[in-house]
Amino acid sequence: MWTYILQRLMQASLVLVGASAIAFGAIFLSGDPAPMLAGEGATRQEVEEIRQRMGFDRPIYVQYLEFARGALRGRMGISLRHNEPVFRLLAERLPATLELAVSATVFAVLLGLPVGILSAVRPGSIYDAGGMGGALLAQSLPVFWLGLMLILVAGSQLRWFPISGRGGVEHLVLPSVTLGTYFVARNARMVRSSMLEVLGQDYIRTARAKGLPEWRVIGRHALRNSLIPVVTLMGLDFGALLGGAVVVETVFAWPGVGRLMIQAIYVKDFPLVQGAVLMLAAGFVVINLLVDLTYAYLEPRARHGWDLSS
Amino acid sequence: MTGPDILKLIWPGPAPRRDQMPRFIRELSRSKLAVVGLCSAMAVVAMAVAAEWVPAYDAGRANIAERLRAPSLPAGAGGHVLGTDALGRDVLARVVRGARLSLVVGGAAAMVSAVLGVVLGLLAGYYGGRIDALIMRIADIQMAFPLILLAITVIAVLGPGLLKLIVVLGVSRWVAYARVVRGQVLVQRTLEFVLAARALGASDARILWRHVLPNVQTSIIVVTTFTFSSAILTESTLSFLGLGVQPSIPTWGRMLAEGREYLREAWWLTTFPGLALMAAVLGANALGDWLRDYLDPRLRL
Repeated sequence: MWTYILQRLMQASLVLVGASAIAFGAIFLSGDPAPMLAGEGATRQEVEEIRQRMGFDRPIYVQYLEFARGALRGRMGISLRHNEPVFRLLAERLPATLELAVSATVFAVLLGLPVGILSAVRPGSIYDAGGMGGALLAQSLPVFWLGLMLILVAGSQLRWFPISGRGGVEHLVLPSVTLGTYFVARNARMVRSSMLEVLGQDYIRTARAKGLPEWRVIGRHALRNSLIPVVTLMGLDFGALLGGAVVVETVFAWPGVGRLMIQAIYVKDFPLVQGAVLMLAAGFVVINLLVDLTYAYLEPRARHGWDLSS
Repeated sequence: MTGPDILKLIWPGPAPRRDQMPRFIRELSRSKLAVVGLCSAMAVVAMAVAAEWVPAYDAGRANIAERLRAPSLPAGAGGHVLGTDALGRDVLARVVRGARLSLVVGGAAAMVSAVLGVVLGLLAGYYGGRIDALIMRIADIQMAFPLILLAITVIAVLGPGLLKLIVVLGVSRWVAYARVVRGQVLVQRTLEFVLAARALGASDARILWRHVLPNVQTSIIVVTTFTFSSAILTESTLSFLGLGVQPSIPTWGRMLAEGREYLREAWWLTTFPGLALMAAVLGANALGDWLRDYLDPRLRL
């Protein structure tokens, strides 16, 4: 187990190095920041002074190491637009993004599990066809379009829910549904296939042979055992959710990290873009790591790199 | 006798394909979802083709006098079947043009990632060892970075553009191909026909190209359908955020972004491009699901 943890930690740090290199490289490619910082009408001498003061004249790997060292300590530079430390800006917005991601996950579980279970218990039935057809449809819906349609129907026409901004629980409904729908489908499909497999196992037949009522066979014996791959999938999806949040936050004017990032892109506030990318990627990596470790704890075979999907 | 001729004595190759098509169609028509998928995919392709013959309302021609007209039938005589946008441009013409761009971007991106992923997957599976370890570690790292975030970052810095978009979408999606191909090559390289070809002195390149690749092509087709739909989705998401192709090209994503400004007064601006986008993605996904079950049930998640 310890070797595995060490391995995964190494891998996660490698990914973080990769992510920071992408974030750093992207800004580096975007052009010389010195004239931009100096502002319009600055003389060449002033630009040169800024370049030296900020260290833009040093070799690129030195600049990267400097950047990485700063990022590790939570120093990500100053936002060009807000004139505030990037880290503070991001930290202010992070709770909103997490709130959205968590509530979308809750929605995905609350709807996805029952649909998947029902489909697996009655394969080939109308529930199964409806559930899986719906899942296919849900996976094909463009997230931002779903958001727009919800705003159009539930927000403007029916006026059931507020359509923008953050506030009470009612503000969470439309964004969470928008962000969570795709993952409802993922969960439902995963629960179904995993449960179908478990239902064919000997111990299910034994449980039935003992005369247990069906709800108990399903609820106690089948569901528990089919949840392991589902939990893994959900963990991995939580990272994808952070990516999707960027779009949903933009549609619903949700004041999170994603919207901040997109706005920063529009005004070419590159330190802020850099910080946001790094923060979202780090969140993704940390969550994946936690999921993998939990999985390895629950399912010892996974520690040895065995392919459990087959 | 050359190498492959002798091999034919051992294994004459796949059974003749004469009765394949009827079975294919029979199986397809049996699955409702597959039929729905095929129909919506064909509708989108038809739109892309028909774009040639919709010059009546040029997609780019603005006409302020006609702005924000609601959809109306019949067409012709100044009627706009799907309405007009804020500049008076015909929504139908623009949706139809958008189909073309989506198909081109999705297809080209899928092709780029297929070539990359298949080559890397073949190398990793066939040679194993360090090459395998290196390629699969890179795959792990790539998978640990959200695709949409990568695309946003790159386009934000490089600026919008059709070619850049295709490259970004293509390069970021090779992992699925590499994983699937590698897994199958690992099995295949120990099978008799590969050993026989090697014993006959065939080069590695020839073995991979002539003997291994044909046996993994069904999986490649299946992965391609999903890569295609995910590339289309990401393209429209980027366009929606203003990070897609050049503003001169009409895309569904940009139309949705523009329509968003008029959500209350002009519902048709956001409804129709979105429906078209959904049809394209649904078509590819449904066909992919069915193809997977039909060609290669082992690929099931």
